[in-house]
Amino acid sequence: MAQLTVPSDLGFSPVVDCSELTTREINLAVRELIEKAGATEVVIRNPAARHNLGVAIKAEAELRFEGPVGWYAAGMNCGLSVTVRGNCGWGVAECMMSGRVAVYGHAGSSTAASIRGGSVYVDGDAGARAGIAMKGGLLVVRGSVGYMTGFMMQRGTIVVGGDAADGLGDSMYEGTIYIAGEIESLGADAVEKDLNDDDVAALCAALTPWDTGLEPKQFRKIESGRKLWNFSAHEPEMWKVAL
Amino acid sequence: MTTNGNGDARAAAARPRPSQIWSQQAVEDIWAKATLGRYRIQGGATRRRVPNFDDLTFVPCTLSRLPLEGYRERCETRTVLGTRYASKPIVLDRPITIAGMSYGALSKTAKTALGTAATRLGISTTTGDGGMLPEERAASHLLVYQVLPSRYGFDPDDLKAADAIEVVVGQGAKPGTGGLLLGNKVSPVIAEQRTLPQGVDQRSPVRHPDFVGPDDLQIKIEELREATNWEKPVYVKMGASRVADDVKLAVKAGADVIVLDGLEGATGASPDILLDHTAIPTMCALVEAVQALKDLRMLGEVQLIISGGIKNGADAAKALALGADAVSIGTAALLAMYAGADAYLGEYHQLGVEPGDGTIWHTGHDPAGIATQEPELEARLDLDSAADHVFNFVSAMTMELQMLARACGKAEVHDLEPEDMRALTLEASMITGIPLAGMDTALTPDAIAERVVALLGKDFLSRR
Repeated sequence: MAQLTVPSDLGFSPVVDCSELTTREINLAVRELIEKAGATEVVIRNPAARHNLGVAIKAEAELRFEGPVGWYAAGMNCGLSVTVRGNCGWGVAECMMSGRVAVYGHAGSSTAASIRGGSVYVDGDAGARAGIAMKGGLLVVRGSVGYMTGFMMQRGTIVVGGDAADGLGDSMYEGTIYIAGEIESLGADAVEKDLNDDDVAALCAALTPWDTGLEPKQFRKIESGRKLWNFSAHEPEMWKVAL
Repeated sequence: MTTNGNGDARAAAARPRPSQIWSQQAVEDIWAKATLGRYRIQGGATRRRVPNFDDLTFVPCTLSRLPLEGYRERCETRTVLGTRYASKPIVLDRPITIAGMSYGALSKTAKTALGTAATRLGISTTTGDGGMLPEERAASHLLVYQVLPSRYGFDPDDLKAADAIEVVVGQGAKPGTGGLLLGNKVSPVIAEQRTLPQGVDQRSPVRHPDFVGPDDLQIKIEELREATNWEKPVYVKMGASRVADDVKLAVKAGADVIVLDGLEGATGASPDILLDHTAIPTMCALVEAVQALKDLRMLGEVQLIISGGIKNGADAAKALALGADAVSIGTAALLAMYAGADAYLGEYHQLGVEPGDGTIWHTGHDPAGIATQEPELEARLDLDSAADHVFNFVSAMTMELQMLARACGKAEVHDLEPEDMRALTLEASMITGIPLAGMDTALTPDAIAERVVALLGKDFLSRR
């Protein structure tokens, strides 16, 4: 594979064309450009839904995928600002620590799974288990989300502009889900609470960066009922379902 | 007393025969559940007797084989793990690893002591649910980083700082079910590390948040390799269940090393019904796993670590003889640390147990400061002393392993083989394919059929 060298003051965005490269070569090229050559923006052409692109990069730079990406795109991201112009597979931005990932398309299941920080935006719909086990950060889905979205969420915020399938917020520990559309059903111990001024402010902050056309007042708030936090013999029906 | 005669009176006065169905244990179990309103929870492992390595014995060299000098001649124990894809395989001084146990289930001092001992021994230790402790990383020359379904405390920097990666699909104590850490161990520090509310009964998920099946696992493993530059071995740890299929799927998914945890494996907390009624015993699982690797022609290329109830050098030697590349110890390493717990004997007796009894590990109240998050209890555990005890135990275990290998004429512990053993029970013979002591052939179903045919003639079955 050719060595990539980029001048410090580029004046242009280096391009990595995936057409003839293996996943290993693509990721090495991106790392070389960002981590070693100091590129502040890299464009990835023809990703062709390849899995595991741009994973575990720790840097502050822009990464633009011009096309669909496969599973775990920008997984374990730490500081990158990533844009995907296309759909993405499962687990986009999974376990992200910080940074920003925007998908201008639909996202597969487990979007933003277990992220601890940063923000993820999906302009279309997201599949099942969006925001599962989130430990912080922000997930905004302009469209609808699949079943068990927010399952075992621990912290952070999920904003859903569309509808949610079965089991929204099932077994959440903490965190907040805002939803503008219909909820097919709430999961175990997920409860609806009143929207207050702080919620409106949080929604404004979450929606402002994106052109969603959504208004904070449209949303409802879902949080944990906290009845599953500790074992209790007094609510056997709930525990029968939960355990 | 009675009007029914002297015989009935004597019968009424006699102690009733103990019921084989409604034993005292069964009755107490029902009473406990009637009080709790839920299943029972305990730490440790099953207390059931299952087929195990004690059902095998070595047949050392006599006239037909030449032994090595038991206390003198060199017997190699070096073990290399992760040779399939990783550019930096793990090299152990001996075929023993410390199993994954969480900071949370164990105190920080206990975790650090394990790392300290492992470094002195030239072996690896493993993180657990909750992520990597800086103290543990600093103490451990070789540290395996677990990627668990919960992803509690998961940090890509820690992943990169590890020496190997272990994707945990399950554990032998409770395959098919996630971890459990009751609220009394979810201290402020543990809660923050796991991003959980303090004092919550933490029930970890069993499914990973971002993959569900073996095809997905293949992609996940590639992601982990890409994240770590294809340098680190990727282990897949599974509880022993449908072992043959699971091993083959893990190999297909790209594992460098398979860690198979048998029924006897322990845990910090579990519903006891799962400890007693799920999983395949360690020895049986090992036999299945080795055969699965042979079927794929991957024995040796994908290394196999077996765990679950490994308690001494004999267990390790028998595991290696059956085809394991290394054994992993958890409970045994903890029990070694309890060697210094006699000072708290009275407190343990007040709890109704002896030091090291895992049935109290879930409570968080461990007087010796090992399975606890109570600062005043943890302060009792002297790190250096705890590390010394683990070091001594594993050193002794290694000597035992070498002694058995030398007695069998092997200058390399990995050269031990099934032919070096005999089975002491019929079931062990049938499970392992090793001849029953006193017989020259294994009592496998095929061998039994052959004997029947030899005795009764080929037409026997058709005549019936």
